[in-house]
Amino acid sequence: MHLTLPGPSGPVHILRGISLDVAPGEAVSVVGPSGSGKTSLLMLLAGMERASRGRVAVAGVGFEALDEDALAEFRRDHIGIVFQAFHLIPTMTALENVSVPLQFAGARDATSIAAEALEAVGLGHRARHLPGTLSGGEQQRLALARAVAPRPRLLLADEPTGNLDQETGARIIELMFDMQRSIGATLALITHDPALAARCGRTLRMTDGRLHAS
Amino acid sequence: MRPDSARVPWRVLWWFAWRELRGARHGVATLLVCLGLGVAAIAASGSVNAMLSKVLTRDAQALLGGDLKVQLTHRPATVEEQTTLARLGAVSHQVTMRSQALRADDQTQRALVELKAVDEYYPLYGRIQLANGQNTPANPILARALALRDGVFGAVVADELLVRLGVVVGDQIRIGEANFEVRAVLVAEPDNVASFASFGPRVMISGAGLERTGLVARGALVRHVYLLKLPPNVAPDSAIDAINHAHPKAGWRISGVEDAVQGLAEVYANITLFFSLTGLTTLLIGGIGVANAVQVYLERRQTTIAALKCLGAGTQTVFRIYALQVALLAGLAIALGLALGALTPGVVAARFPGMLPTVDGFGIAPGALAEAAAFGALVTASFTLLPLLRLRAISPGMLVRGHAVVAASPGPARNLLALAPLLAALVALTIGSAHAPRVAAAFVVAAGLGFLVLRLAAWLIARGARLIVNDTRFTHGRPVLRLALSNLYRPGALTVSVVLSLGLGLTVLVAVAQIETNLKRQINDRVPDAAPQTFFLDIQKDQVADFEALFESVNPAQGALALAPMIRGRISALNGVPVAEAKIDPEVEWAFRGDRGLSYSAVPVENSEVVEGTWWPEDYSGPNLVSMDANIARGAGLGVGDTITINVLGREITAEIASLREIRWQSARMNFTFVYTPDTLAAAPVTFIATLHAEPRSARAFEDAVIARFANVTAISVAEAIDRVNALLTQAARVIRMIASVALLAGCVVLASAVAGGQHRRLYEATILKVLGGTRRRLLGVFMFEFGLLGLGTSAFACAAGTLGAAWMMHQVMQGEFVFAPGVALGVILLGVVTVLGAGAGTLYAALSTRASQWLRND
Repeated sequence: MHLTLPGPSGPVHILRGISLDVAPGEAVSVVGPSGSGKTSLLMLLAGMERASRGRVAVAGVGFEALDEDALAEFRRDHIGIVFQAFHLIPTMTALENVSVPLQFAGARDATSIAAEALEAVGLGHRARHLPGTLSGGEQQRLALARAVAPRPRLLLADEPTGNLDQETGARIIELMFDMQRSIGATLALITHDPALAARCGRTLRMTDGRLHAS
Repeated sequence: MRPDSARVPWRVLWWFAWRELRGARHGVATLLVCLGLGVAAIAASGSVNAMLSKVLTRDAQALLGGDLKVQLTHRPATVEEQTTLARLGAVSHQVTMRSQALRADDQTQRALVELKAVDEYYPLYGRIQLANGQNTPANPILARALALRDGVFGAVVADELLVRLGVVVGDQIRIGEANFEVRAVLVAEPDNVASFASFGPRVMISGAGLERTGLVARGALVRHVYLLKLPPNVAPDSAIDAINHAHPKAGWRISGVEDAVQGLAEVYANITLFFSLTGLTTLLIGGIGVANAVQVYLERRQTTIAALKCLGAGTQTVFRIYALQVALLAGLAIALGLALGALTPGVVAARFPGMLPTVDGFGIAPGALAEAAAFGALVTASFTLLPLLRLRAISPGMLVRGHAVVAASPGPARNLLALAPLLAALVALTIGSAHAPRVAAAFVVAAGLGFLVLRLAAWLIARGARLIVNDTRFTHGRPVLRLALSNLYRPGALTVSVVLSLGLGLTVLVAVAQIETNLKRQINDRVPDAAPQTFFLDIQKDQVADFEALFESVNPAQGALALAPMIRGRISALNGVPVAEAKIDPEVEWAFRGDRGLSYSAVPVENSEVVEGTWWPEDYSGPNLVSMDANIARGAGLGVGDTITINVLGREITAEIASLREIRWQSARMNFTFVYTPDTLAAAPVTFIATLHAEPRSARAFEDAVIARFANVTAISVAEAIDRVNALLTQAARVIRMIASVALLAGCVVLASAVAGGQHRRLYEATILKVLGGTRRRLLGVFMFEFGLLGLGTSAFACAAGTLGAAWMMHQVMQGEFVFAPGVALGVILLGVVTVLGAGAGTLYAALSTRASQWLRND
């Protein structure tokens, strides 16, 4: 896979020929310095960027054949994402935030599934609170609940502990691995933290747009 | 150590404010437009009013036509009377009447005109303006235009007549028994400003030309006006005394410049008050925009504010820094608004040259501008105080927590208390500066209620949306509807902004349109059924038999013709007491003021019923008797046996009231308030008035025949009169709609800025929704539902409120019946929905085309 994006002073080659195969249920981590292309890889895997060359396929579905809306529906049904900056909808309550993808998927009991997911991350009592009133750790737990509630086959996590203190980060990671295992999802984790990366079955290193086995 | 914020020098505060302002982009345009527009509207109406008042004072004589105006109906002044007038100063004589003008080469083309015959001294003051743009200081050009040339007199006419008859300058028209050559188009006559409504276009001819028409027969409905230019040493009041003393029974009406100016000043003051209240409405709607803009600006500055607080700035310091920024921007907006407002009088004078013929320039009206600036400053302060006070709630801790949504609620009660003096000052200024304080006070109450009611409407919409969302029967399996509805009540929802900004403008629009439709319906549908097709005026006594015979020959089977004798006279005394001193109910005062049509009849008149006293025998001969409208008699405290004195052509006639009648005016048949015994008016030069009820086509045929046969008879087609009223109504409604559109425009600016203010948040949300599986179609659906529902809710509410207002106006003020006009309502609902959807279209486009990755990267 190659990814080239236009920049102010000409095209920028972000990913320079990457090959990656991840088996179902496997947990893979990607480490590497800032600007090496880790987040871009995650964007490609989520169908939010398109490869300039090469192909991306998740669960056997090639992204090149899907248009923007089909990719959105694919994400809705198969991919959950946890961001470093949480990316919650600030004007929706915790419960509403979690129920959005379920509602998009037409789940009959979207609200009760969302409530269960909140309980599972220990935020049952904060269901009617707005994200702005939650602590950083709580916000990330909320984001995790939103990502796993539709039981995705692929869980993507981009520096999920980057905005959190060590202790809170550790609790989030425990929770994330627990949930990944419980729903049997494949996990792609992007992190700076070698210790965290080591908890995954396989660790890859990204430098200057190229991927190496660690 | 915590610094004492009160001691931070202003120089430092200015420095901070200036640096912060450099980064301000969003909201600046909104603030400038919202505030500038409102201030400009108020400054403009104040300046126009100041200009008009100045002109009215300066050109009062021109507006009246002289220092004194002496009017007589039916007859010219006698030689003795003329001598008296001439002894006082220069006199100009003019005769006015209604008549028919026909195309000389095609007499089927005709129009009812307001004829004015002037002498060589006209105008004594001011300038007549002819179409070639020449202002004629005296009147050599006018005199030349009206003079006899090649055996034909000239006429100058209003443009409208050229269009109606299809003639051009140089063509001939026929009036009465004479032809006239149209020599110029009349643009403005100095003494015709106040007549907003007339029966037809003006035709001005010379006195000698009028003689030739043969229209001024005895008893014809003509007015002789004598305009006097007094020498500087003669006071108008003493001149009036001298005239009245010399001819106490002349029966004329004398007015001085004050009468002319006062009436006009009142009219203009009322019109400009309406304009300035509209300006204030615009400013208030704009104020919502200003509040929104400041709110959004401060929300975006939260991090900076939190950082300032972290670095030791106290609440007061932060408040002052941001209040200074608001003040700087508001100052700029007010200055721009004032400049725009100050330019307006010049534009008005240039755009409507006929409105005030003597306007030849304009000046700055400092008072009006100061008032507009004060309004601008007070509205800014009132609407931005709460967002500024909410700065106190921003905690430095916000720096370490994301997504703080600043509540748009008013804040603690002490914030509201701080607002109270500002609102009180705004109310005081509104009422104190108005020409009619009661109207202004009513406006304040209406504006306050309107604001509360619209706020309630917004609450109802949000509440309704929440109820529907919580009811899974409606929203289950409909995520788009659910999201759209929840967008109506979530924090940061546009509901309040949209309802407040658009609601008022749309409500006014609905009310005006409903009233206009209802008035037109009444005029067009109801009146013609009962009203005659045509009125004929000035039928001479000796023409009556021929006139009736003509009707028989032209129209024997169809239609009904009614004739009645009429002469105009003035009521001069009731039971011997001069009318000016008599106690008369203001409701019926009109009947005793000015000229009244008087009639006589030997037999009881139709469409009325004698309710008191008895009708005189058919062959009655004896003392003068009169039968009077019962309501008017009661209003003047008169009953059977009392006496009324009238002045007809300078002769006083006293008659005893023999009976009172209830007249069925709504029958729209010819009737008279005062009907005398035939002997009473035997000596008077009575003419006949006729009404014709007939099919339009046969009425037209009879009109043509009458005009061909009797050049002196004037036919007034009711359909044409209705057309004129319709045209006036349309014009008035257009002006009001135009003014209301200024408020609506301000509303649109506020709406657009509210949408733009939330754009950043919406794009971010749209991105997250896309990440969570939202397709573009779904996002489009959410948008269409949300904005469509908002537009629908707002305009539906505006329709209800506007319709209620219109119904109240029709019932209470215009005493008419109200019928809901669904077309108007649908039109406004559509307008509201389209406006709101249009305002959001830019955001929608951006949301659909935004790249998710650009919002989600950490670096």
